[in-house]
Amino acid sequence: MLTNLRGGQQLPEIRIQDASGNPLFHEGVEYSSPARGTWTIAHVSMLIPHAHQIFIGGDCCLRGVVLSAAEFGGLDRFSMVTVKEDDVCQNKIDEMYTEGITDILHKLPVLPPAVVVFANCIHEFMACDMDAIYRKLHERFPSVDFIPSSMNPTMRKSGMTPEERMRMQLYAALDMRTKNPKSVNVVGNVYARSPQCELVKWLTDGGYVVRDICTCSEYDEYKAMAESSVNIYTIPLMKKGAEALEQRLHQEAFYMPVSFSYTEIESCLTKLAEHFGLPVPQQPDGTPDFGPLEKLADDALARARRTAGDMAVTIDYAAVSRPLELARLLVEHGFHVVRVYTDSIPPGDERAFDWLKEHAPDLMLHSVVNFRCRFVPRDGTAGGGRVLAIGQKAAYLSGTNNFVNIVENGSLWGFDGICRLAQMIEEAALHESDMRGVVQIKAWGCRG
Amino acid sequence: MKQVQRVLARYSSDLFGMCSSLYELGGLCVMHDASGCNSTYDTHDEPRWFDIDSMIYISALTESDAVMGNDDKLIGEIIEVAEAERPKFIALGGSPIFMMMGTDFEGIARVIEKRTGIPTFGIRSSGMHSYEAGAGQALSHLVDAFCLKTIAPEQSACRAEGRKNVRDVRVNILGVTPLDFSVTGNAEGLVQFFEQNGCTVVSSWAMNNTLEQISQAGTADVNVVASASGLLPAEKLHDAYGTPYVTGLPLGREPSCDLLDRIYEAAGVKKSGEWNTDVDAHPSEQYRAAAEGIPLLADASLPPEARRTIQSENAVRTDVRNRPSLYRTIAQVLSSDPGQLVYIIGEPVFASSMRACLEQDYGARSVRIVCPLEETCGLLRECDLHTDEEDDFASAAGIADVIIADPIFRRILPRGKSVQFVDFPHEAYSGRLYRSGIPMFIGSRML
Repeated sequence: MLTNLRGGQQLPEIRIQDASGNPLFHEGVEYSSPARGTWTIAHVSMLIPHAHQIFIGGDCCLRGVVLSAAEFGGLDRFSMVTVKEDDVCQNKIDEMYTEGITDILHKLPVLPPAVVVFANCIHEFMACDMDAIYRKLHERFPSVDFIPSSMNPTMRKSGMTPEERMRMQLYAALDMRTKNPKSVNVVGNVYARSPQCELVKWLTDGGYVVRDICTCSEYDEYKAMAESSVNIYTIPLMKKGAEALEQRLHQEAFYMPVSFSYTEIESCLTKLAEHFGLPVPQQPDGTPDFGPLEKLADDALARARRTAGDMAVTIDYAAVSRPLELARLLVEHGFHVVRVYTDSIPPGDERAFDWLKEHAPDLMLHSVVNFRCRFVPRDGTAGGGRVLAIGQKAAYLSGTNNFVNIVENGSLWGFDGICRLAQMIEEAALHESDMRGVVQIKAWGCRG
Repeated sequence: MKQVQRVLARYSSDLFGMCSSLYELGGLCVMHDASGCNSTYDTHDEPRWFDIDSMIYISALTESDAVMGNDDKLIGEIIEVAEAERPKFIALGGSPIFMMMGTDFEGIARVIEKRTGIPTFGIRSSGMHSYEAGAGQALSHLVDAFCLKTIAPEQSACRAEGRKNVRDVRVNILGVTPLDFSVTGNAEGLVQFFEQNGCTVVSSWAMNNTLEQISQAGTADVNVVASASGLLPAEKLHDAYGTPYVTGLPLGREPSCDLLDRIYEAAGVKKSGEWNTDVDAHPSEQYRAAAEGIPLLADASLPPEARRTIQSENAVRTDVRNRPSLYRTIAQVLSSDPGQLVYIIGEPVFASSMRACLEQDYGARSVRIVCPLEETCGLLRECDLHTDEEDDFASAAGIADVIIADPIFRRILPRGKSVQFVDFPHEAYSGRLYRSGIPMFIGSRML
């Protein structure tokens, strides 16, 4: 009965050999896939224990965030002020901001320790005096930490993006404290790094307290992150946030990326050991010995490769922050990687891009937002074989139920991360999941 | 304070109403927005997104596009898609930023139509009005763009001599979108209800229908406004063809009969036999998977807090799904005292039809409506409230004995006061959250 819109369309993809420029595809009107596991600003800010969120904006902006909160059971920590057309015409936005937030806080059963306030593009275009607004709010509620944030996707390609700002503002309520040299933060992630990964294990074995907002359940615990002397960040999205903390709280910013390159992981671990005075396994000649860790990863990947057989592997940019580096790792270990879903070369993936161009020239780079994505074949096959996807978007766009359900790097880091990812690949190769049901759940693992 | 939602949600907006109403018709719909509107719409307001292809996109404008008011870029990009996909029409609407910029969507639409030859229309949206405003405008545009080009005014049923003294009635059902009817069988139930009572359904605007069927709308004797989204197209069809319209939904026994009486009377056709109000419809094949809703999994790999949240949410959903017949619950409540004060919060056509059911089938004597949408369809009484303010909802809850509303409204129930709350999930309010608990409410089967 419905109009059949499919058939004969050109696919929004390019061989990596032919790819150049960043972004990789012509930008225009955009498609949004139903794969929803990545976290939005409404989810990320929930990581601050007991913080209340207040969003201010038009109906179409508020609806997405309030229903996100409803879906993860977070409505008790969520309120809104609705801006209507008349408010814009009558220039009442500043007043709505202060009075609306005041009204909400007066009505809450308990005053929260922190309030994350999300302004949107209307405030920016109306040139609201945000400093004056927050001064007034501080006067009225001196015990509350107000955390300014923004829901302004218009700015997503200029300056600091809303996602970068949100990661930075996650730590905005931390105040200057005396530093504890044996306390270290891992910042910027929505999942804590696994306690078993080398990054966390080496530090804790070395007597360091490793703090992470993802494991904080009380506000005081969160505030104690200000005592740490170093902020380790593992994704480029947190770079500006870590630098801001370095300036504001004198916490050293230390980049330990989630990488799938043995060389880079080893370089990171060497740097980590040197900086924190941690022991590194050594060869008889005194040079670092990462052989056993490499062997564990090699063995895990070999097992996964045997299980996956000739399944065509696809990877998306939302699963891991360096999808091309992961593609390279898998290609080097004999996997049949056919497609990476990304619209750009992510930061840190440049070397892997160059390597793949030379060694896997037929690998396809596929857009995730180009309008043609609506009509790509989603039958779970590629080149006649079954598809194994890494990431929700890859699973959806490939149409496969054999997939690794991971977003935003999960809790992976280092050789341990590679071993665990290899196990997940094995699982995905052996067992089908309910892709339709799983990928539509917003912000995988978010708690209210 | 006004416009503050401490604990409640917001209804779907005009922009999403536009997309929802046109979704199945083979057109290209572009939301002029930076980002965010697309994911909100297709996650929460569009149950068909996973299973049924539709050309709904956002323009993805950037800061410089907004500052410079770069309409040419938008026009060029839409033309690029149109040339690749050859949609049957193009519809445009904007989010708040474009209201502030004063973007002329109607002008942009004229330029695109001229360059592509594809019927194009822009709707006046800002993302700051409730959904029926956008849906109504979008559906009205179909009258000019397609109906009048297919059926000339002089060929309309109302003016055709050959249609006199016939025994059946040809109807269009207007304002049928998942926002009000979900995908749980109500759209199909409406068609079944009319067909089993001697009506021919020319078109349903716009679920389970094609643009070609809608183009035949001028051949109908009567238009049925099934939701507030159907009012604008009904007025437009009346202006174009002189077709009368009747507003209402067949809920319960007596109001369903009354609706049919009014439709036959408007058509000038004599009633034949008894009305059959017993509807047993199911979702059509294309909606079946979506009708199940989205599982919130209590995955063992999640942190304990997340598992607890999801388990508790799943319990609420199960509760909603397993609740005994809605009408039976209400009947039990009213049987002890028909004078109890009932509040129905929701879309006006549904709410007034529900009120008619409670009054006529159950003898309820005090039923009031709270209409949170901008369009009331003239269905409110003096005792009713026309408001979307949380404080007003709370005031109504403070004096109500019974409330029929979306489950999210449970959050405003007063502490310490006993109120019988009847969950009636509404996709335009709680989105997909309680979809699996949305009942088949058309007809009298739930009695």
